[in-house]
Amino acid sequence: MTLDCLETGTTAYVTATEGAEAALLRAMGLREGVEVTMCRAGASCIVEAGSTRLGLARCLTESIQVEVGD
Amino acid sequence: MTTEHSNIEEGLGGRSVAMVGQPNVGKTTLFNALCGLRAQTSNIPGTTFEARVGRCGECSIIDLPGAWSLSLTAPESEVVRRCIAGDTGFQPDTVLLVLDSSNLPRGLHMAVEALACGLPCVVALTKVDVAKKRGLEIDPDRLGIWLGCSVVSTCGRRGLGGAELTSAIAAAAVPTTSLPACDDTAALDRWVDGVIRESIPTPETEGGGRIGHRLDMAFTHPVLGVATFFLVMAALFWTIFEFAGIPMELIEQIFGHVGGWVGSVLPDGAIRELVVDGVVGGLAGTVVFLPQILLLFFLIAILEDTGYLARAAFVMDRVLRKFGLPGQAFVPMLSAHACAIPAIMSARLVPDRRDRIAVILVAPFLSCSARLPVYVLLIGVLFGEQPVIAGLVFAGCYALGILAALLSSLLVRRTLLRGRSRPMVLELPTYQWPSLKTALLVCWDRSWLFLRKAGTVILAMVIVLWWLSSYPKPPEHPLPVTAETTAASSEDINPMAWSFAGRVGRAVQPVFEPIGLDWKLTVGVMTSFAAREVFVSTMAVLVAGHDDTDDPNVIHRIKTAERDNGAPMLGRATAASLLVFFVLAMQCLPTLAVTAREAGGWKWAALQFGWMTAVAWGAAWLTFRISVAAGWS
Repeated sequence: MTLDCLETGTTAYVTATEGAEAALLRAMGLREGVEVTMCRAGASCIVEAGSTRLGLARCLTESIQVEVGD
Repeated sequence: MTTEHSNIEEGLGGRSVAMVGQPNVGKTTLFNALCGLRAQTSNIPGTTFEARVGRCGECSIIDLPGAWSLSLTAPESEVVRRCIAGDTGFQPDTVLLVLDSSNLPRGLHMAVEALACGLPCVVALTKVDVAKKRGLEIDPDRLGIWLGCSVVSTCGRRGLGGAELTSAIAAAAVPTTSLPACDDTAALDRWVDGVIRESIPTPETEGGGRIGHRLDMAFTHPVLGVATFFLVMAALFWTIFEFAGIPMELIEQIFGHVGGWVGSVLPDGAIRELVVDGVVGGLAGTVVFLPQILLLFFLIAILEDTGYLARAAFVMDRVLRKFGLPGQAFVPMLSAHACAIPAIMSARLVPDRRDRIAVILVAPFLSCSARLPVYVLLIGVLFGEQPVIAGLVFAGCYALGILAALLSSLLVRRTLLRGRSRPMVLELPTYQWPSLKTALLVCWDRSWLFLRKAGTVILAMVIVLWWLSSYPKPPEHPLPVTAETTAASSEDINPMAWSFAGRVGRAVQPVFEPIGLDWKLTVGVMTSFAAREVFVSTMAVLVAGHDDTDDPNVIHRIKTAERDNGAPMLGRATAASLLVFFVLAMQCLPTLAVTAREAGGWKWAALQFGWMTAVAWGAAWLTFRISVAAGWS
């Protein structure tokens, strides 16, 4: 599933970052294996990865593959 | 951002140190702690970027733009990469890599890229106080072994670690440790895990912070967030309006006294007029912008430092993106309601160049305070006896400016500045108390830059416009009767009408005829290029013979003045058309000077002037025709 599918409060692990901004997203901390929490879902969402909080447009969250942990 | 700036190498001396780091790691705070006022903003040669260059002991420190990684294609990454490689005309002797202690894993990926550049390196760990609060105790010596260079813990806000850092820079050497290849992501991730395990013996005890999370939920809420945004911006706008007025008035009074004194010691004649009205008046017209610039940048720096500005950009991105602008555009667009000059300067907050130029181009559409005297005069003519309608029209002027700005931005982003916008990707930094020192240094830097660069151009423009409005002088004695002078009325030898500006006004009057202006109003429009409020004083000189606009009789005479053919000079149709023209026209040469500087060339200023004038003329013509058709004469 992609990051934009997560509901507010859900935690998942990044499995892949794709698209034109993949390198930027990785540099900002959204790397494979990193735990992310959806803080505010929506067209523009807020996610937390480690100590970093990011505001992302939907086109970016659609390009991040995640896997919800057990 | 243009070639007129001093270049970085001109400010270098001693050991040159390039400060490299990701955004929001506390790089600028550390720079300010090290260099303080001994710094200036300079061009990075061959690029459109600027950097702060400061002195710290025997070193020159260059605060390069924040970049998420050195390998990205983003302009910031490219410029940092080129600077370190020496492709910008100079090469630093040392790299000072700044890493955020509270977010070390993210910074380590970039650290590998910087350490591999082949230059002597030193690492500064910032925000150690924030990291400690989260239970993160980084061992700088262990981290130094992994990175192959000296690592110094610092806290820019408290001035800690400065001396150790200076010593480490003096002894910096090229890292010799074995580092993973930057493009081998798996090996890089393993290396980062190892570094974190070894250098941070204590695990993090607190996440992003519960208070921060709650604040985020409020500040980015679709309703509450927008309401908070408007409240904060209203407070910012009110503060600028309320508090800038006092020093602005004081500046005008001081320059008035200086002009009076200079006038009393200089003999009568052209030199005295040049010094008093041209130079002193021009200086007053330049320095008068400073209070607004100082206040705006102080407040922006405070808001940015607290972390709120990033949340505001997040909220506004949803709205402004529809018009091709990013969320960060809200600060310049709001500030433009006070004055377009500081607003255009604050467009530096917009990260993407195309977005930034679009903001700069459309910001002057928004009604600034200089338009108010003109609005008051013209709305008084239109609806002087109907205060409610007058109030609505007043609000309508602001709405028209906003609409024109948003539609123009949409147009320019789809034509001249066409291209994919950067999708919103914002780091929402941890909330913190703002640093007064940082805010004051930002104010100092921006104001000095304004005076040094835009101010000199504005001064020259004001002097030229004064000369054009004052010369040639009308003859002191009645003119001999000739074919040329028989038609001259007493108004024709009014000093303003006799001046070059007056003659130009007469010459271009046919252009303004379709929107209902006679030659006097056209002269008013011409002279108001120095500043819009000059329109009212010009009309006072043309109609009443002096520029005391505080005298209610003068305003009454302007409203009731007649044209050469006996018709009212300011009929309702003309007043409506002129009002629309002033809402939309680029009647401010100082703003054009700042546009040229901030956008990177006079072609942008020419485009801004041409587009705004065309829109203003077209809308004024439409207003005039509709008004005449509706029976207003």
